[in-house]
Amino acid sequence: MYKTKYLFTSSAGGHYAQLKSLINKINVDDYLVLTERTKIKQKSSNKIKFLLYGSTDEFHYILKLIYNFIKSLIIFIKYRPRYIISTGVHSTIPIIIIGKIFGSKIIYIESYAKVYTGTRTGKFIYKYKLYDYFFVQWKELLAVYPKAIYGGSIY
Amino acid sequence: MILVLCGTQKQQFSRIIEMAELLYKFDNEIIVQNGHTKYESNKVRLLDFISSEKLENYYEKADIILTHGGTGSIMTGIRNRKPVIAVPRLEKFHEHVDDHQTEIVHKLSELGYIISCNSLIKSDIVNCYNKAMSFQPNNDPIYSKIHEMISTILNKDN
Repeated sequence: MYKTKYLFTSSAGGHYAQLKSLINKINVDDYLVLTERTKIKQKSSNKIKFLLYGSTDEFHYILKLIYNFIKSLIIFIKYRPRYIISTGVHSTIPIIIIGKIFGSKIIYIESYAKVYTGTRTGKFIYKYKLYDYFFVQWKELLAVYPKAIYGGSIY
Repeated sequence: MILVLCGTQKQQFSRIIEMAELLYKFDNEIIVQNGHTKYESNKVRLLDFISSEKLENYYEKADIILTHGGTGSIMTGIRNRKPVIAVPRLEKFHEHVDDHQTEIVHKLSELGYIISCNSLIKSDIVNCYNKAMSFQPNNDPIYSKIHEMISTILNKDN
């Protein structure tokens, strides 16, 4: 039923830095990475798939979201991950929703950048219980997400 | 050498480069990863986007890191044991979708890991530079159990 064990996903920038830090420190094989394409040159690898880079204040964001949703669905069907691990944010929502519907276990890690308030994505995932495990990196955030697990820094 | 990091965001962040230019009189080797920010200057070297391997070299060589309030850049600076000066991107200047960068910059400077710069007064960068010259960053490791916890979950039913 599952073709890939782990799918690690994030937006670009700091979220991707957090994702790489996590992958480097935990010992897993058989995984896939799904992130946003930026102008930074990436070593090509069959382990990494790209979504469109988007910022929620862009006029065309909704079109990018639709594209990313379809691409996420295709990737999900092709790889069927058992676990989906996200370090946020919005561009990872489609694969999380698809995964949750089709039985993947979801691990959501709220960004290290957020100390006192959650991200909009984090609040969305939390509110609609789209997670199996919800981690925060700062203790202060337990006030926002009482059911979260405090894990400390991912860096 | 001063390494300046504008981040990968599409929004412009020219204020940090203007601030960097104020440091030219102290250090005339200023390298800027300007990313999407369009800027022209004869005081700083603009490098657009740099691969992470090349960037790692610049981190090692830099005397001071001047960065936007992104966690990737800040933490790489801390890991390289460099004095890090952080200037948060602000929504009111259309530099980001919100003001979240002020949260992490406030927290990490409160804990003594970095120097927080008041970006509303550009000349504050000179005070921050002076502070950075004798800055001893907090050496305590930041609490981190998250990798073990996630490994445990992922290996549970293998």
